[in-house]
Amino acid sequence: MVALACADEDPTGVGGPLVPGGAVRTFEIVLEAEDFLVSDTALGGFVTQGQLLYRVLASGYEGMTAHAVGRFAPAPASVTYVDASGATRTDTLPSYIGGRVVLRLDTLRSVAPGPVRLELHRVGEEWDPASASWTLRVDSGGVQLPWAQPGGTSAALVDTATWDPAGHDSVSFRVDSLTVALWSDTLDATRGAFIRVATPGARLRSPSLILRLDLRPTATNPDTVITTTVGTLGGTFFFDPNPPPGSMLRVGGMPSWRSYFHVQRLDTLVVPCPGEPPESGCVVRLNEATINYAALVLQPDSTPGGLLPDDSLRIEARTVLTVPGVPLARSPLGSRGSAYLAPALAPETFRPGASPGAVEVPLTAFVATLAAGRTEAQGEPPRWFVLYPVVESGLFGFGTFGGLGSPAPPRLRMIVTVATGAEVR
Amino acid sequence: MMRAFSAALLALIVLPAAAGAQSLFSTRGLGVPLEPVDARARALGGIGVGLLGWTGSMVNPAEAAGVYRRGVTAAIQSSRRSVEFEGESDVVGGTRFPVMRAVLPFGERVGVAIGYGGFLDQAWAVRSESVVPIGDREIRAVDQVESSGGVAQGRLDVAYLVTPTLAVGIGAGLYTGRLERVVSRSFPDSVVIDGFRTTAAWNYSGPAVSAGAWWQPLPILRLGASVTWAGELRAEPEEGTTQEVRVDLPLQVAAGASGQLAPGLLAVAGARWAGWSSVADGFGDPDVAADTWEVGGGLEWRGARALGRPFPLRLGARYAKLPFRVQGATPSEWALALGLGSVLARDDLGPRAVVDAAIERGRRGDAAATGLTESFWRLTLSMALFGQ
Repeated sequence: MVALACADEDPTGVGGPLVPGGAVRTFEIVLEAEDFLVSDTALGGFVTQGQLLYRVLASGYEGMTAHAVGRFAPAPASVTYVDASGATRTDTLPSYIGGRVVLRLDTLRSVAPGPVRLELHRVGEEWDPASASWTLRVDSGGVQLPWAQPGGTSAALVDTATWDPAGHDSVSFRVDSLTVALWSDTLDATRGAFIRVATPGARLRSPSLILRLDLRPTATNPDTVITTTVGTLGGTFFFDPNPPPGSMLRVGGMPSWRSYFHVQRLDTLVVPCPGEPPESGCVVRLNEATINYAALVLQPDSTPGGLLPDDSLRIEARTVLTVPGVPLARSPLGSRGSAYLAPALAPETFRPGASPGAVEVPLTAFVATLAAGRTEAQGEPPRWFVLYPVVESGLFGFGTFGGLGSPAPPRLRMIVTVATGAEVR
Repeated sequence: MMRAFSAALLALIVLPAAAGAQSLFSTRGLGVPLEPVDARARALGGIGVGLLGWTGSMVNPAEAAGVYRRGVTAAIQSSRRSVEFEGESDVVGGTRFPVMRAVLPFGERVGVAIGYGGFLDQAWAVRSESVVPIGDREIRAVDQVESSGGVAQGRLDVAYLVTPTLAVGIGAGLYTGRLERVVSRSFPDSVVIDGFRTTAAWNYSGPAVSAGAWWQPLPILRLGASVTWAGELRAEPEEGTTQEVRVDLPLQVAAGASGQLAPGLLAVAGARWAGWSSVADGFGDPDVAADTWEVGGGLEWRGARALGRPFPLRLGARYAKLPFRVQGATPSEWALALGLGSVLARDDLGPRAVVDAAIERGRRGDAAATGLTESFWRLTLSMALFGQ
């Protein structure tokens, strides 16, 4: 019975003037920072260098220097191999005669003016792979031990190697048997490889570091050499300088910057209809409008050259579910601020001296929720959101943006639609 | 009976929904009146009163008398329209279900019918494209205003056969229904700008009482008439609006006759008047509507046979004024109809299953007066099933 006397109808493109009521109007509204922001801040430390799957090496690259340290797993105490006759043998007293440290390099994300000379040293002081930094060799809990030499204390030079960016994706250092023995001594807290770039103006990104060990089995021909591979138990890289954020906002990089924003209530906001004379009395009440699009408009600022992102920066926005008593950095993140991501920002966007235009980070869902105000089902809408890179551990280097109080603070751009009431007739 | 009824319903549901009798004239007032008549009445002028033979139309409550077996009728109607307005044209379509009616005889004199059918159609949809200035840019926007629903009528009729040639009937029922207006805007050139959509809805309610009679002074002649009084129609806001509308629905009078001109040849004529000016107060506009006349008639020839079965052929014409003014003018509608019927199954007492079809070609409006014209093809199919 429900279907009786009902109908469906194809829309037509003619007859618009006959339509009773329901006039639709769309406006662009741009709010300045003081009209929608309470505060903003940049916080770092969400990912540390030790958690990354890559390391960065640099020597005076636009003012930035970075060293890498790694602690290899001990040389195996027994080795199983297949001899010349095809028999499988196990050597429980292997004699290591040396090896090679192989450093793979990301040729797309490395910058080098030409061949780059690298140095492999042994580490000169006891250090902690999980907490070592540019100035501290141990920074765990209440223990803070500084390097004798900021940037890491190197000991004996093990080898040097030259990487040619035109033709290779790795570089190899020869390691003598003494160094192999020292790096296998698990009681020695100094053990580890220290790698630095000797050629100025280069910044290299390395996705892996391994140690290939050569040994002579005791039960076979003395000319036989067997190679086995060990990886690192831990390691990190550290760089200098790393400037404090000040009033600027940061997204990405190390130690993984995020920018947090506290937004004013928007459901009570009433703005004059853009393009309408004030005497018309036309106003847009955000809580009665549909938010078709909203975006945070950010003005990129210069990032110190050595800390420019080494790849395109893609920014995502999420609501922050603040909890009283919980630090902002530890507050859980909520839903996405928009179904869409901001366009990828090229590293040059943040190069000192560049004059890029403003960039928009979509925030439609967040702003629409905020403009709707408190609801019975959802309660009070969240008023914090955060910007962070889509792959938080993927980039070395960060993007810088003008914050509240800077010469180019954020703005909120909205496209809203309102309609006059529909009528029966 | 139930199996046959289910088959009939299924047949109606799966029929292609290609076009619509709905109209841009529905954008005015309470829309365009719908006649709760079946395909046979459609093909014979559309008045649906005073027809010899079975009719599933729910215009005259006395038609439930003189029916000797229980039966049910349902109709579906689709149309395709060419619309012209101020130099622009388009082709649109839609589907509706104008009537469903069941009749149950009690003895030889009393018949009870329950029916649900259309009364006012407010289904239309208009789409327009524009360029919206957004800051220093312009964005293409597609707006659509879609109206669906309208006013339907549900009625219970009781008819009494006073003599074998005279019957009277009364009916009481409700006007009911729902109107939904959806206003939307989309930005097809941008994936990041969400669309806009708002919905307003009203529920209709109002009382109606009908009375009618038919008289057959001769076995080959039937005269019929009915009058329907309708009270106040209330459109109460349900969603997205606070506007409440109350209008006085019109008194409606219909009369018709049919007679055998020759063996196998039936002539039908009828007229209907409705006092639609009664709605003016409710809209606060004395010129919103005018009283309407509607006349129609046709011929039915029962001589055509094929595959051993009769296939009645029908030819009809109809002229009507529409109640709600467009651009200050009262529009009118005419249509020519061609119909065909078939008895799918019968027994000694008469038909068990009947299917009828009517196709109409018509036109609404006057470009000079209203700026809006529609020419349409309208197909109505109905099926009637009868019990033992």
